[in-house]
Amino acid sequence: MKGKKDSARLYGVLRTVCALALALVCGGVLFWISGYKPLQVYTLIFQGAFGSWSAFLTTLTYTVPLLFSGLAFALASRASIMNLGGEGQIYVGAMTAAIVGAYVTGLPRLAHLPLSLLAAFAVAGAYGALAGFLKVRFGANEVIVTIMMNYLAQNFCSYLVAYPLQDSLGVPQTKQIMDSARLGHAFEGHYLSTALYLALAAIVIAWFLMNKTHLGYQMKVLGCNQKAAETAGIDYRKITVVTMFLSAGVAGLCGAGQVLGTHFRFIEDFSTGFGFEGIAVAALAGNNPLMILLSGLLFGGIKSGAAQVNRVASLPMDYVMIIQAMVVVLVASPRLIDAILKPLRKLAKAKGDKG
Amino acid sequence: MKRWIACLLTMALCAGMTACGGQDITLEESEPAAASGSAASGESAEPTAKIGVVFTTSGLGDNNFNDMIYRGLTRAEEELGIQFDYSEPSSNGEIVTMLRNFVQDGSYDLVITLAADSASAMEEVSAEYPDQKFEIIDTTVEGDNVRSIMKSGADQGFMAGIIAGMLTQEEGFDKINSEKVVGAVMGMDVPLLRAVVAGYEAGARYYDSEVQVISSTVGSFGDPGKGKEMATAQYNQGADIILNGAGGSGMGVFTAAEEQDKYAIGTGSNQNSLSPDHILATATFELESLVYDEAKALIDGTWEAGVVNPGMKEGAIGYTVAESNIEIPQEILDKADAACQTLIDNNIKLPETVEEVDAWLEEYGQG
Repeated sequence: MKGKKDSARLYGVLRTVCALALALVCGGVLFWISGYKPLQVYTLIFQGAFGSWSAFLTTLTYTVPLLFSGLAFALASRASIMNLGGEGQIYVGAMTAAIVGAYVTGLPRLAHLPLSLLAAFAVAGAYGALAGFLKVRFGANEVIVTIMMNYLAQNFCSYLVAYPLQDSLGVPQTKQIMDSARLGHAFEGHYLSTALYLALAAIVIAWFLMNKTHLGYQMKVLGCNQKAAETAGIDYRKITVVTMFLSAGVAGLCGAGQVLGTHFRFIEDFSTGFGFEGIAVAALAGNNPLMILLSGLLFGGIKSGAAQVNRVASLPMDYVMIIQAMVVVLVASPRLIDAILKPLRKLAKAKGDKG
Repeated sequence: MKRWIACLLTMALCAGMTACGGQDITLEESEPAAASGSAASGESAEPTAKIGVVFTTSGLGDNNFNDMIYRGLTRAEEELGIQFDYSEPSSNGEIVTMLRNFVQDGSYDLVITLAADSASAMEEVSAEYPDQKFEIIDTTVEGDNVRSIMKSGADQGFMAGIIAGMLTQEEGFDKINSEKVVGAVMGMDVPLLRAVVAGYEAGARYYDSEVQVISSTVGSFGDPGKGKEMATAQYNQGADIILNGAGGSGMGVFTAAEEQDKYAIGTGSNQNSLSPDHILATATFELESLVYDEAKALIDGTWEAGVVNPGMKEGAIGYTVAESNIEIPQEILDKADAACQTLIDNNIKLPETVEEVDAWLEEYGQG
């Protein structure tokens, strides 16, 4: 029995690896058509991302926001809630951190920094919980609600930086945050911020929450079957709202990490679509918090390596986005990979029988 | 076990496909990394200087600042043997990371960014790395290691104004009315554009102080709809030539010129071809040669930090009528050149605000 389960899991991993490989092959064909050497480009991307300690740290700066946003999506998915509002929640968290970081004064660093983070977590969480509330109270579809709330958040933040909170005329950004609210550098001699440690901590906590606590168990049951969960006495309304709160809160930390550790103020359009990239990260990781570490590193590596190749060899960044999109499409279509793997499995079986 | 075989087979297949792809191409692959600099510089493999550029989100192909810098540095690469690399951010949030990456690399003699979009990133990073040389274009950042190149707005405005002021009185142009009114639509209420308007007014009234100048501000560089609205309003008030100083919103000014069948003047890189029957001329900012000169200064060791405002005198500001179908009388162009030459020869500083224009005309005006 256990062996069967193991092999099913193994097959899942194999499927993911195949999807990845296939995406890289498709990307390779694209490079080839455009007149680049695919292997050379991939080697360069790999070297750019992991070739040296400094390159690795740069990769981590690209990875950290993806860890948060991937985790946010995975948390909600655990309870079968599609939180597509990551992007908006990131904006809310970032704006909250920027406001608390810049306008709350006179606090020591030990209080100011945690306060900024906590505020970002709470406000973004509340913003997400609102979507959960609308779902359980009025039966609103959370997919539609969260997507629409992205626009609400982004446009409201744009308004804030263009008018009441604008720092200097003509530049849509807020005032710089106080020194006491800044995240430090994670390592000497590189700009990678300590948001990295926050992300790692969040991953561990989320894993613990999902696998070792009562709440995590309730989320899981709810995710498997809502009717059964209710029959078993689980308050599905409460769990839904709480899950959305946690998920959105983590997304908020993503924005806060960017503001407190990278930009030191809220800048319009600061996110490169972290919220949506997080969906891909979570999908590749099978919504497993620990695996998010790996898939986040993969996506971060592709971005960072490609930025490096863009710099030294003028390879347009658009190729990278195509590869990323291809990974998502292929990972999201398990049947396709099944179909590709099937003849091979038959072949292997036939061989095995003969031998 | 069998699955493992399947797995191996798949991997082999994938690897095979990728490998084949690699071997098949030998022609015209753009040899990345090492080659880009040395190939261009010809004899010497070692570049004379290494320059990194972080473009703006508009990126290459914007027909404006990004492209001008690219062309200027490409010329420097061919003629001076520098090596230049660039990054194209997809969002403003990426600028700071790309900037840091250039500095972290450690091999770049100079890192360039442009526009207000990168000002805060430049402020941040230039303070973090005091030993790195930085340069920012079209905005000002303080710092001992930063050179800010801010074009002289007044000069650029004057260039456009002097032509507009004379042409609005010209007869024989079907799109010119009898009123001596010219207009200007600006993007935002910032000092640079206030100087453009002041220079424009000084230019328009240089030979005839009775010319009236009306100006309005869109409040955004990305709102062509509102730009068009404001330009239309100015045309209705009797203006027949409008200066576009509104960036992306300025596309609306050109649309209004077409709809109202009046004239407009462009700014920046040559915009005449956008609407050749309605755009008279463009008051240009010669960023291309400016950037080339910066690279040269870097090699010669004469590069220094600080704020510079290049204008007509430095050859950074000029005008072009190329690609426009409208024939401006040579006499007007000659008089415009003469006026500019007078300013340059006598070292006359243009007014920076509209309030100073009357006093300035009193002293230097010719009419």
